[in-house]
Amino acid sequence: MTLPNELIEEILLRLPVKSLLRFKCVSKSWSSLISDPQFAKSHFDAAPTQMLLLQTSVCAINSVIASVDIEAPLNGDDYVKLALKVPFNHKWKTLRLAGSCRGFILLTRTKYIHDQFHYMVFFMIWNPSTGFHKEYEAPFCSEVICGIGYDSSTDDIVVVAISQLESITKFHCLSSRTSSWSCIEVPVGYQFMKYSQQVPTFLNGALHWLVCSIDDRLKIIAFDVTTRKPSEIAVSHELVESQSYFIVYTLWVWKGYLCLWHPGKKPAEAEMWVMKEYKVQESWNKSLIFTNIRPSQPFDPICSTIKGEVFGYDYSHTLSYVKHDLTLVKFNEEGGVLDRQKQNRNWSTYGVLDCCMHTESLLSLPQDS
Amino acid sequence: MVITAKGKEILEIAEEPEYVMLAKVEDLKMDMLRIVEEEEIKKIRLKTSDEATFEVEPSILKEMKRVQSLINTEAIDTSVAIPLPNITSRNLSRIIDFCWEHQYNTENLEEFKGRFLKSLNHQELKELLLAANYLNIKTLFDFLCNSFTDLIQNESPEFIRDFFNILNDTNSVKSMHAPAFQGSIDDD
Repeated sequence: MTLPNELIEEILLRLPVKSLLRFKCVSKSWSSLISDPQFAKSHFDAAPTQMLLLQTSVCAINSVIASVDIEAPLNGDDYVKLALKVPFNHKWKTLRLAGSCRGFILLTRTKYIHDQFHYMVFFMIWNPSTGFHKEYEAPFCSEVICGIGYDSSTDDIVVVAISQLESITKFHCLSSRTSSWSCIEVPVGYQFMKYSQQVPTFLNGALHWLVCSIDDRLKIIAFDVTTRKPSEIAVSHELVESQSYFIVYTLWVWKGYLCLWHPGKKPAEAEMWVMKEYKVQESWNKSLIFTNIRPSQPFDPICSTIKGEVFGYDYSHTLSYVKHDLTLVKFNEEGGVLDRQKQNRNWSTYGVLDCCMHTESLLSLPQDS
Repeated sequence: MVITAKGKEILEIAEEPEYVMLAKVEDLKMDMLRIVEEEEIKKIRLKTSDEATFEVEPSILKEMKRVQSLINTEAIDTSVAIPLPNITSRNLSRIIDFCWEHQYNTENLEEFKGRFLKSLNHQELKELLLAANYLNIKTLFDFLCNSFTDLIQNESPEFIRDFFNILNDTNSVKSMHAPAFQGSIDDD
């Protein structure tokens, strides 16, 4: 008995990328279907499975990005699904994981030009499933804060890079469709919360960064990737009033809402604030107080599972400042610890932790020929 | 539900004179009869390829978008059984089972789905997918597609050809694997 092609296609749309790549050699018609850009789009829309990417190395030698299945129990063996080998030449000294969007990972590297006393910045857009990658040189010379988003109106993958000059903030946008840069500048200076989270959260078509404005107020900057315009989002009054230099705030997305996380007043506590209505200051809601945080190991949330569990990591510093212990932690919705898993891999021992959510896809970069 | 509602009505009118009450009770009887009749009318009979006739409840019928649209367009006479020439009685009874459980068995649905799947071989699974597609039953169709996915996602291309009856028209003998990145980029 043979199933008609439409039904076989319906089944294929629900398969993971890995299986589809393997099934390209089943027949010529399967190969052309799986390679079809329209199929890649439908597949991405039909069955997006998210995974978490972790990268701790700032050194490109043997650079590997680990991918973690956040839905799987942490005490099992299979939560680290695969390691992605970064397509960089080992001569590249510094490397950062700067975000992911529709299956494309954004990697950055900076290179210091000694005789000219400035940095050169390079971006790479890379789809690890298909192997596609393309590199772009930035039109500016400074250390950079950046992210990757999707402009649905023009079907374009956009890299947004922020550079700052005193009280001017410049948003540089790279359209992957046209391979060209554009720039929007605002006469406002911001201090970016570098240590809590580098990778911005992409939600409602905008990239979000947590910042402090000139008057030292905690704010969120939303850069709309479609209109290419920045706007400010206020945090709750209570948070602004209790704001302190000594608190590390983390901005992330919980179940589709913007969410702020910070350690509480007591040593083992943390508070979670959720913005129930996007861009409405009054809708910030203190939704949970976690009481299971290890005092010596600050917890940083990264993402939420389908059920709403909080996934993140403890990042404890031992005496030597280059050696860190990384422990992945999962809290249930009431704030109880579900799983704790200490990482013994070499990717967890040095440097800064970069992490972002990633969805595997067969998509190729939209490009105007 | 109707009866309890009407029963309450009887209690409320107990204060009224006896003849009024009796008249109301008569009305009530008529109401109930009408309701029962309507239910009867809404039940639709379906005739399978092997000439078996099934009487199907409206709530189950609602899931079968194809039958529903046939009834709604009034192009067919609902007093006669609707013929389903592509579906066997065995499959139709499975489908009705699934729709029923999906609607009423909210507690042990996953357990039912597991049992349901176990009772089917590959051939029957394909037949059922065709039937679900023909009748346009979204819940069953999605469930079967996902079951197929679980079944094949870790298999080899050879298994897939066998499974879907596909002729190997490619020249490669060895099976390919996901193209892990192998090149390197020259720098500087």
